[in-house]
Amino acid sequence: MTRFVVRRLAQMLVVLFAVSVLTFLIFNVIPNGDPAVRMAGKTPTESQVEAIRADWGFDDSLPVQYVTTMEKVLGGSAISYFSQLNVRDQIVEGLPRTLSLAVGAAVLWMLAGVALGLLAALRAGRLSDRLLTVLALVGVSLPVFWLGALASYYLGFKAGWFPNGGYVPLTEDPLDWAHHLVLPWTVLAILFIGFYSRVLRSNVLDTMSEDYVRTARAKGLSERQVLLRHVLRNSLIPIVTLWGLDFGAVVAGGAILTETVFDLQGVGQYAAEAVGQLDVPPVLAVTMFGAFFIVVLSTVVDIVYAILDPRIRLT
Amino acid sequence: MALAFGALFVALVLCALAAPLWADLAGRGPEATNVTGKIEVDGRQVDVVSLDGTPIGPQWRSEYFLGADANGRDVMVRLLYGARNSLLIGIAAALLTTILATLVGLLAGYLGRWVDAVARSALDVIWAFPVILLGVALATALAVGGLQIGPFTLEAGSTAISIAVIAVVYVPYMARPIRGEVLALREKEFVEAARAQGAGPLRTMLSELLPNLSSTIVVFAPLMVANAILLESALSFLGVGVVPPAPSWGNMIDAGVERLVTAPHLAIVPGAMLVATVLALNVLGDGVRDAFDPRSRASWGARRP
Amino acid sequence: MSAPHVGSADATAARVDPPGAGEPLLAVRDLAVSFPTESGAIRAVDGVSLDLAAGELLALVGGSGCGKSVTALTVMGLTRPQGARTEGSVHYRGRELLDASEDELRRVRGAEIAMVFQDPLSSLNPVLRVGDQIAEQILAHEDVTRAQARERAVELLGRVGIPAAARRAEGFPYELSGGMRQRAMIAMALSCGPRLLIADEPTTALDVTVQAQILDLIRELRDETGAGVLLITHDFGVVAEMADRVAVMDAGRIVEQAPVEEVFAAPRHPRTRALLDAVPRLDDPLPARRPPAEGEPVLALDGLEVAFPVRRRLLRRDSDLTVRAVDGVTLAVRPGETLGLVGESGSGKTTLARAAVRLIEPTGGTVSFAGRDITAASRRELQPLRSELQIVFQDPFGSLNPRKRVADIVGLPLRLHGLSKRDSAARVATLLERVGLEPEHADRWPHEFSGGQRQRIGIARALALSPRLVVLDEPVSALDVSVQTQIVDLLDELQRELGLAYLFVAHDLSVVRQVSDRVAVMYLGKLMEVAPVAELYERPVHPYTAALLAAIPVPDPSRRDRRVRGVAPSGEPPSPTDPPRGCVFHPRCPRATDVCREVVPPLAAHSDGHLAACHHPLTAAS
Repeated sequence: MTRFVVRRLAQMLVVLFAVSVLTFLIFNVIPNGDPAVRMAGKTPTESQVEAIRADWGFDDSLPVQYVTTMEKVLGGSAISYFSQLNVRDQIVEGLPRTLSLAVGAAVLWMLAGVALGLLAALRAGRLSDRLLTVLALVGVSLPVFWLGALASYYLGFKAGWFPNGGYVPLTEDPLDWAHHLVLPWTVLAILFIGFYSRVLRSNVLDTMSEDYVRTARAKGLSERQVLLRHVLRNSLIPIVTLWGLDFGAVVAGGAILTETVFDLQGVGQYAAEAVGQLDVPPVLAVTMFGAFFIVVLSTVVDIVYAILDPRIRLT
Repeated sequence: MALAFGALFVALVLCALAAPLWADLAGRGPEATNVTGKIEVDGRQVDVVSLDGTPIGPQWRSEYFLGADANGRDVMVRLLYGARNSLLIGIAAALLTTILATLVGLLAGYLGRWVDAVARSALDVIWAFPVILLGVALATALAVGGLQIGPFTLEAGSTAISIAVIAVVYVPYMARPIRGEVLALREKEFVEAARAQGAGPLRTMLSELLPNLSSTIVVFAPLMVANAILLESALSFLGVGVVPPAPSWGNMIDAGVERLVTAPHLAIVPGAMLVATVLALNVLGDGVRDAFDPRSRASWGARRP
Repeated sequence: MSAPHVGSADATAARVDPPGAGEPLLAVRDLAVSFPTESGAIRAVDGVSLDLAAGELLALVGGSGCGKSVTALTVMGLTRPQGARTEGSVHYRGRELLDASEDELRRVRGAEIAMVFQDPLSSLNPVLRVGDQIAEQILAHEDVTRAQARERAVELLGRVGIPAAARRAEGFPYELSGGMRQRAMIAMALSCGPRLLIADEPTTALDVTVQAQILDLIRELRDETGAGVLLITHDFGVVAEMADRVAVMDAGRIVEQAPVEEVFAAPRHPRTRALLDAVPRLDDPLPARRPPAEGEPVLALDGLEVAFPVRRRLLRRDSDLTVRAVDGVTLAVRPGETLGLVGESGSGKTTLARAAVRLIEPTGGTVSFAGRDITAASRRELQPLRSELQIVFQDPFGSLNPRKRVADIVGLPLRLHGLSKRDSAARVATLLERVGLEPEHADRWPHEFSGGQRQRIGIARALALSPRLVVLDEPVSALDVSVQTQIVDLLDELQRELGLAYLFVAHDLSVVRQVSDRVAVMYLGKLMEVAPVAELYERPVHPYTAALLAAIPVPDPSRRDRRVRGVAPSGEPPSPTDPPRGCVFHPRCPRATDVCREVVPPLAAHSDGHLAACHHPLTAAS
């Protein structure tokens, strides 16, 4: 097992490096034209462009450029040329908001997705299953930004049940914090619930036809025991890892749209606003940190998977 | 049921193709503004866009069938042209993804060793970025200068850029399952048999493996189109997909969200169209998958990051 | 006579009711089971009646698809989740099970009637510990604590012969070998002292030496507990070894039911007779074989080695384990001859077969075809030879591309060698007829054919370019016994007609005996013995060969006790990643001495054409 963990950690470091290189390539190498002009945003002045070029070393060789870029981004000295604010500070400020959104939504979609998926599997083929399927399909078809906008407007602004966007820190007022987040959590969770319920349903159906479930019944276990100890347990294992990865994806950037619509001022919205202004440094930084987060999280997920399913340790 | 939704999708495509016809009927193109114009409603002359900026709602007739937007443009016309853009980008991107993913998955899975190692690493790295983040990053980076690969130059802001970005972003999503299947198929005795007959790698991949992949590819196809359309609308919503004044459902929703209070139809209508299209594709994909695998595994749906 | 728990000293749970005189433990009457499918109801069982008394072993035997497994599963109500419709009655100790409630059945399952399934790998939950899975069953039926249940589990594992039982209980199923897993399943089945044990093909997936051990174990446990055993199998040898009574099933019905001696000595139903006739027996007369043609060997392997690295990157330390699947094998196949190659799982015979046709690259030694060294030949150099050296695979379902028509499958080698479409179509038609199929079959898809027919297609494909040698890798193992004979006959015909040489790789010694001129025995990558077929089977020189032959169940109940147990190897074949030093067989050999542990015995000649690698070969005197 330790061998496995060490291997995965080593792989993780390699991938992190590759991610940083790719990010660098995306922003500085692949596109056409002058990177300094690009970085200066929508309306650059000549002196701005020159300053940027010197600051980021665009006249140097590529490897040197790469090192400079990494220094600025990882070292925390990158500045947005549009807002003149330090990128890393902005990210740190927005992080708790993004995490609040992500954690709440993740818990909600996991519980609801598993419950609905299990229900659908147990009633497979019947009307309730078909209904749940339709609901799930609708769920994954709703664009989050549209649903969020409508929900915010009709349930927030018009009906007044929920505040019209905005964020209240947890430390300030937990109840109000939650009140502000209920709509964003639900909107973000809906699409995942649709997806997870279908995956769980399929896993459960597959597992139910496995030989070891037949053995469990032959042993004289009650149907409930068979379901919980054998079927559900084995079906959930892939879901848990999927959940970890999706959570990472939401934190790392999936929340962009939801945050924007609900004005939560998290990392995602920060990136979205920068995108709108074609402001490169924040987008670069968020992209890289986002990908880093995912790589680390997926290594954790791999290790958890190996704990849950011993066969994986052989790989 | 899947067939009904498939028909729905086809109907949508046809509507999109018919966009110019409707534009003729409505009397103006998708980008023709009309901020100061007036039209006749119930015998009176009404401002298309009122003094405080509120556009008129759906008129349910040929001109301004679904109303106007803040610039006086005909919503229905824009909707149909937007459908053209969104569908074009979606289908083209999905096609490109399929071709690339099949290529990568087949080569990596069959040739193994260093080819596989390189491909897997590349896929892993791309996969490390959440879809929307990568899409946003690429689109932003390419927004100013465009892209130049060898003899090809893609103009900044062109649909080609959107297609390229979306296609690349989704390659790992499809390449990994294909590679997995190729790995499984490779061990099958009929592949060994072909090799024992003296078939070379190329022949083996094309005539033995590819036909067995067709079911996976066909099942993925509608879902990839749905995913691509959703990503395109997200990018347009953020401003780095289809850029106004060219219409796209995404950027229409973006503009509409600002005026949700006064003119909700601006956001609702394109969103509804988007949902309908994606839902149709998802149900179609589900049905296709059920047809190939009667044990009804879960559909992977159109995933959003 | 009470039935105490296996492995438990606690006698308080022993049941005390005596067996009713004449009242069978299990009485099935006119059982019929049908399953609803999209194309209507399928009747899997169509009128089965049988009796099983306590302490008796009833063998339920028949070809695949005859409904024996469904019968067993229905007794325990395990076909209900699939929507089975049942008629008739299943009486267990006076209770009707067929319409019992789930709750009642649950109490019976595991505690009174227990089942052992064919594939222990898929029948055990891969993510739960072995000991926990056994304890789970105990806890479901008895009022003991968790700790007590776990203790009993460890005891049970020890009782069924698993070494280091405590450690194994903490481990997972994948860590055990096939034989050990099956023992664990048996331990689990017997954990609550059932009165009826149903074993569904319990040894089919195991090597023959391991099978012998498991069958011994089942018999022992039956003697100890007095439980009734319903043993389902397709192997008449197993039936002869184990059964008191036999029920023969065909197409959902019992066609004959009688004590075992009667069934073998005087079978009444034609189906029984057909099945018995098809079974190859070690004491059948050897078929007359043509002497091999003169000339240089068609295929010659010299010191062939095939090793696979097992990569275990431990950062700095160089831990490079290799699996030496084939470890220095020297063999030759003469023109027109059939060389049989036998071995158990892990022996390397399959790897060798593939290396001989260069599907796997040799890592040492040479492969020569018709005098030419092809060990390192490039694909282009090999291309013309592909017509001369061909291979037929084991799995009729995996060896044909499901997405190609038969014409394309059989025609591929022809097209690869430049034949035009028309010529190859004509040749395909001829080939199909040669193997006993119709030319029209060329337009069909593989899934439209039965297993036996698909093997014929595979053979047709191999013959397409008139090869000189065909390597056959377990060509009949996946087929029913009656179909096996047909295919073996076909191969024989073709060999006579076309002067083919065969390298016939198999694990079933009886089949190999019927087809071979000479036989080679492999173990852990090395040759143990090579001899003309009569010599090998009647006067084996190597202890391993003798052990293999002794382990084969003889389809003759009167010979049951004659099996020489002292020769049987103990334990299981070791893992090929860590072969023993010296003679690879020494840990399991009853004749091993110090020299065997240190020195690898060379393959030495004992008499004309008879070679063996052993320091203490069996002579007529031993």
